[in-house]
Amino acid sequence: MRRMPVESASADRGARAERPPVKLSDAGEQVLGLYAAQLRRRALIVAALLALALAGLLLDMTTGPSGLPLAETWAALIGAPEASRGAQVIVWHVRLPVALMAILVGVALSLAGAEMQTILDNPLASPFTLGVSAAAAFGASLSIVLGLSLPFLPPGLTIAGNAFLFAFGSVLLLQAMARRSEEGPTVLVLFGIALVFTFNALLALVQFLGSAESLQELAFWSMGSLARANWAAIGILTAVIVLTLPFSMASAWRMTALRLGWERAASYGIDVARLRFYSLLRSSLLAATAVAFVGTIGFVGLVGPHIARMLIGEDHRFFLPASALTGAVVMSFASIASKLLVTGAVLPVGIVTSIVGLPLFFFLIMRRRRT
Amino acid sequence: MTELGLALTVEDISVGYPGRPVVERLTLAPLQPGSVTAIVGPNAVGKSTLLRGLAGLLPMTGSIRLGRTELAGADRTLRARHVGFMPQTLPTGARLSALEAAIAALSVNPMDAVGAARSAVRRRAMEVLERLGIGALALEPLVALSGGQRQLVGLAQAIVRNPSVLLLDEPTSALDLRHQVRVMQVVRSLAEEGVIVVTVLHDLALAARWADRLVVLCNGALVADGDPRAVLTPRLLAEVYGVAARVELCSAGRLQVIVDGLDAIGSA
Repeated sequence: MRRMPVESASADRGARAERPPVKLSDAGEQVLGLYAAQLRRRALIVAALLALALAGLLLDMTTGPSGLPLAETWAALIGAPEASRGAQVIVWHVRLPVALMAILVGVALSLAGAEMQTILDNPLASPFTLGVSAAAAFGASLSIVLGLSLPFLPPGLTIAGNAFLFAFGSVLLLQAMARRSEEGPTVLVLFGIALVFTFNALLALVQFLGSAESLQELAFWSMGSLARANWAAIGILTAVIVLTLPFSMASAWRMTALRLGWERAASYGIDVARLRFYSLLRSSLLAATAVAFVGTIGFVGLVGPHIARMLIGEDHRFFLPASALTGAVVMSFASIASKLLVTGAVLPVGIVTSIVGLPLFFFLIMRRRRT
Repeated sequence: MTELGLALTVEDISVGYPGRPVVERLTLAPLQPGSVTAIVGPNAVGKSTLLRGLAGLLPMTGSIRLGRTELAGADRTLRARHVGFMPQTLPTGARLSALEAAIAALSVNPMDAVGAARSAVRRRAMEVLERLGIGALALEPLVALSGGQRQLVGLAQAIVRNPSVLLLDEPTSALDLRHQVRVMQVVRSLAEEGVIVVTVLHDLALAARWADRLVVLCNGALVADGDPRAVLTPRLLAEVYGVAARVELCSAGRLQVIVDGLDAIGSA
């Protein structure tokens, strides 16, 4: 460990890089073996979550009012000649878009929640609690009730466009407020809560002005439903996930280090403000896009990361994909439950996630207390 | 000490928050490799602020040079290669193990010299944990560790990147006597390897026992700087801390500070 005399600071680095291989005690070698096994187990858990999400996708496609069995669903999906025309229409135009959208929305909301919880150092942070959903609902209300929307959007996308605009704008507002404050992430969460109340008040104002029909439509939108899923929405949400996920994964180590405190992370050379900014940008894009297409869906962004954290810890190389996949599993099974809970009717999935999510969340908190 | 590296020069630095300078225009004699310097002083006089300024965590002006390399205003990855910083506390909420915490410290920047092979990173992390005597706790989650053990993990994270300058903010604050000695022994041995150690300490006896040099701050300004035996005097303790105290050598020949009470000014 003794250092060599050096000429300059950079030469010192070179000297240190060539240190002889590290000698560890037998116990130390054993610990590293256990650590490697731990990493393999985590990779397995991620793989298992992926398998579970795929199972959910398939199961989701076989459930529905028309009761298509698995074999027939599969035949229709791969375009086998024995599949009836009706089955093909049901699978390709109704079931597959809904099932895919469930997976994608789960991935987007839960990944967004995971990143928000890490960078804001707050286990209660999620797209829902930071006001993204409330802002989206207000944006949608402007379009549904007052007919206000962006001029260049096709008619099918006006509500989603407005919802996205407000959801994304609310996070930018949050960022701007955070920059003006010296307090850091704590105050960001408080700003988020203030935004929830502000947008809820504005939404109430719009509702007060609205007609009975428009209020009904707005109420249905706010409940969060996968029935609005279509291929354009699936394409856009997939693109957003595919574009943001690599950046999330690339900052996995920095986020892991950030869990040890911002000062420590900064002392490792991490630009913490920049890390927070881009992470919040990614999570707001993900959450705003998801919410714009399916409406308010609570608890997935909150519960998904919590379950992932319990399964896998906070090494973000595993925590981020595990959160995304946990969200997908939760959403997919919520989608299945939404079709099975009331015979003959499909409940809005937002209601299911809230009803199932709340007790689950309480259970998790109580369990955590005990440990 | 025969093998010496580069000295740290701190010149005319001011550190603080926007519109609220805490340390103003402070210059220190060069901090030599192999030395342990303790920053002492009453509460809220800018000890931690000075340390954070040296670590590049707060806005500052002035010059901090390691040899000829300017660290003030330098690129953060460059500074992070030379300077290790240990904050007072380690967060309790993170679901990470001690080993993961040390590995994370080595893995944040793929361009780091130490970020070489994966196995080399893991071995280096484990080596540091063993050195601090917490190898057996490597896979324990941080939440399950005691305050003292967490402090040692925090120290491991600060030294795992092999810094030339090690900045410690109250490294013994949460520790019992045994752990205090353990931590200060490690700090001493790091200094013997040529590291420049600067540590904020509240405990003057601990500072006198383990540091080569005391930097005494009061209201953001330098009051005294030098060998503990020269610096610690009843007069200084009265002026800076407002206490009536004796400074005596114990039977082992070590400096002891015995506080008798508040001095006339302090109790007035």
